[in-house]
Amino acid sequence: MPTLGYGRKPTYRAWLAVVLGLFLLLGLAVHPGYAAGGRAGLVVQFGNGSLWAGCVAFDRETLSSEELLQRSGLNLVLDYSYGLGGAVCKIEGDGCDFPLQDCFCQCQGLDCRYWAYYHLLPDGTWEYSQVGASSYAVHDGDVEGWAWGPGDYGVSGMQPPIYTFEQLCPLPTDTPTPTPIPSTPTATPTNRSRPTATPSLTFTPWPTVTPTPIPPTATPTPAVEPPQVAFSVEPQTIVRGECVTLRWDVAGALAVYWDDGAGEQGVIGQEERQVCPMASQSYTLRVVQAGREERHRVSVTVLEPTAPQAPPASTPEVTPMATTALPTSTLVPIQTAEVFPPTPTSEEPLEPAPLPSPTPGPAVGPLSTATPTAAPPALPSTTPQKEAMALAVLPPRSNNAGSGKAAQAMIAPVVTQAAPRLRPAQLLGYATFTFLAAALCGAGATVLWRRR
Amino acid sequence: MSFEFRVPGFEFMQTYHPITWLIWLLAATLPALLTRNPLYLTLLLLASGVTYMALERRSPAARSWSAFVKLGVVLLLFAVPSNALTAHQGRLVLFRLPESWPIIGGPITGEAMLYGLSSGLSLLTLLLIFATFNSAVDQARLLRMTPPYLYQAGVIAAIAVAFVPQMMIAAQEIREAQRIRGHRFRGLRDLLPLFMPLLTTGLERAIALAESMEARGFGDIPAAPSRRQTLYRAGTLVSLLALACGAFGSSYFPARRTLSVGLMTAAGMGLLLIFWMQGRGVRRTRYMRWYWRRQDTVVSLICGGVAFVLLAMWLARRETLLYYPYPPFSPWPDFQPLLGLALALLALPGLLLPGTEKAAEQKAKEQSDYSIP
Repeated sequence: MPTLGYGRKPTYRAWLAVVLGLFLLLGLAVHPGYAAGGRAGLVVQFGNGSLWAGCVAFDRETLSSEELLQRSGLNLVLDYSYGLGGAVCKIEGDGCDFPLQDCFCQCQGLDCRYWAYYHLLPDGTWEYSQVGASSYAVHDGDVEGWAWGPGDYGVSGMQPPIYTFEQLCPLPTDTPTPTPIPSTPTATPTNRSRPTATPSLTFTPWPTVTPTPIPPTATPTPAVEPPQVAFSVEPQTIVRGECVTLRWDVAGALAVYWDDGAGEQGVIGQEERQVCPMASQSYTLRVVQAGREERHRVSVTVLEPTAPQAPPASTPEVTPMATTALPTSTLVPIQTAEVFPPTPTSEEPLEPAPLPSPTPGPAVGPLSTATPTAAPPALPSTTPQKEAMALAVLPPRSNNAGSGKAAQAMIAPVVTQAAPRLRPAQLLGYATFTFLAAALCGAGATVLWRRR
Repeated sequence: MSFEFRVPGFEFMQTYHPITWLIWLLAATLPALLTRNPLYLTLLLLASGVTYMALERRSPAARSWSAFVKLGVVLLLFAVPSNALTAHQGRLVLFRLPESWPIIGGPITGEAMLYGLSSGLSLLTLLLIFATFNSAVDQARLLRMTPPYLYQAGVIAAIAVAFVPQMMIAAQEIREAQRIRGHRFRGLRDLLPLFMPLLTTGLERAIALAESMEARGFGDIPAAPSRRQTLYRAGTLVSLLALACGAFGSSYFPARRTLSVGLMTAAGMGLLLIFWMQGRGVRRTRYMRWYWRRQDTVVSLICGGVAFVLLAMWLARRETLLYYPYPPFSPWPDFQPLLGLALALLALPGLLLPGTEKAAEQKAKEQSDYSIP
């Protein structure tokens, strides 16, 4: 009865059209504006107590928390094998190497360690996330927390220290209000409000601070230690056409800006950069802390290629402001770092003094497996007080912030890697595969032919 | 309708010795479970496909299993787009759907498609392997292979396993009968004349089965179990309990793993001992002899070798079998030619099967050669 079939078809079509139309309407209704951007704070606490805290800017209204992690530049391993989002298996050195191990390889049985995920509530407490990192939409002003450690799947698991959005993402204005960072992870809620009425706050440089070992439960001191900055260039003199390596390692700062004369740019706290200047040039690192800022400058002398290999007459000029030319062996190219309390041995007067040699205490502690051999000796993990280090990926401070170009520059770099190419050995393997598959298909055809 | 325990049409013909098929099953299932690499899975699929096609003409059971193979193909076709639409990860961005669309919005990546493909392929390969095995070795032979201490459980399991293929055959028969009467199957409503007889047939068959089993003394509870039987039961219960405790302890108290592993080993040994002692009481007679031919030796040796190579690879160099397309790993799968060759060898049972005429001769010979070993 073909008439029956024809009679049914239009109804199916009508239903299909209705469903598709509803879907389109839904898409139009929820479509967000793309003009708005935002910033969100991110706090990551590692297994040995060290911390990564920073501010990530983004160009959309919302961002998934997983993307926020990826934009932070931390090394991640995620498990996407269940569809509908990824599970965080590893951040930097803590966690499980997913395809070789189970994603929650250290969470089997009672002894359970995993990356616990939290959102900061407006009242200043962490809330254990009920959804995964891929399913949570981060908005402007949010603070997301990750902590590696034992947890019992709920609120009483390991929690990262509390930072407010204002501490992590201070407004890039010329007069920042002093916002002390709580120095202990177990800060009481009263410390989270911004102490705006503390004009008498003095910024004592860190060598003069008495290293009284503060017990972890003590209330945080409002004093802000100046940042520890190591900024070096190697070599300081080159022939034109050669390149130099600039390294900086900043601890205890809220934001770091890099200026090569062409314009300021927000950068992360530890980086190694290669530049090939055509003429002698100086590079400036502006380190912003709550209520103060420092400028560190190094210069590169570029000689003409015709000049013989004579040693330069003038040593690279060092601005009296602050330049710390460290021996390169003290620089540890690690992603995260801890700042340890200063030792009483350093008695230099104020202002950014050159960092001591790697043997005394105050240095950047090695953290991940990527530590080179030239790293300073590992410090005992039971250091009485660990101050969190704040890294910031902040927009460059430009005067024409309103223009579209500035908004573009504000966006933190998305971690986009090109897809890896095929290796020649792989191509050989594929050729073998094609041969084997063709042979099997031939065998199948033979079997089918024999069947007749 | 009478109860037929054996699938009709598959009576006395033997392709290979069931032990050979078991070794083939082991060798084919191992890679299907151990790797997600689409290249290896494709080769495995082709190899088991060749074997399946070679068997298809011999066994009507293969026809009923073809429905499952089709289901696997549908699952594969479903897995690729669904994974691509839901997992928005990877570097090979093909195109983007608007972010505001729930679930499916976002970048559609090649990695997600590859992962869906490998998931679907592993499912389809497993289905095809088991379809091949079940076409080659029917449940009566499987029942005969069960160890003596599992005799009763084996009978029940064989009946349960036989349910699906028997139902498929019954459905086919009813469909044919209704077609002869002029019924045409078009829409959902036309399926009623198919389902009603199927239901009544199934009920009839179940009652007939129960009656025949009762007539053979199944399910008969002795008035008072002997002391030895009571001892066996108690021992089985205690061993199983110890096994469960050991498994719990080994996962929840990893510090005392040696204790729990020792407990599990002792419980397992106790269970084996009880089973062996129970099995001594069961006597079985064989109706027909199974032949072990030269092809059996060849196929068993090669398939055993393949299984050994795979196990060794998995234990020693696990990373060669791993495949995970998402970053930071490469989406392009690696391919080891030797491993691929080993997988292609699994098509051997299909290629070494004797031709149709030979099989008919053999059947006649075997039928005239009843013997009780």
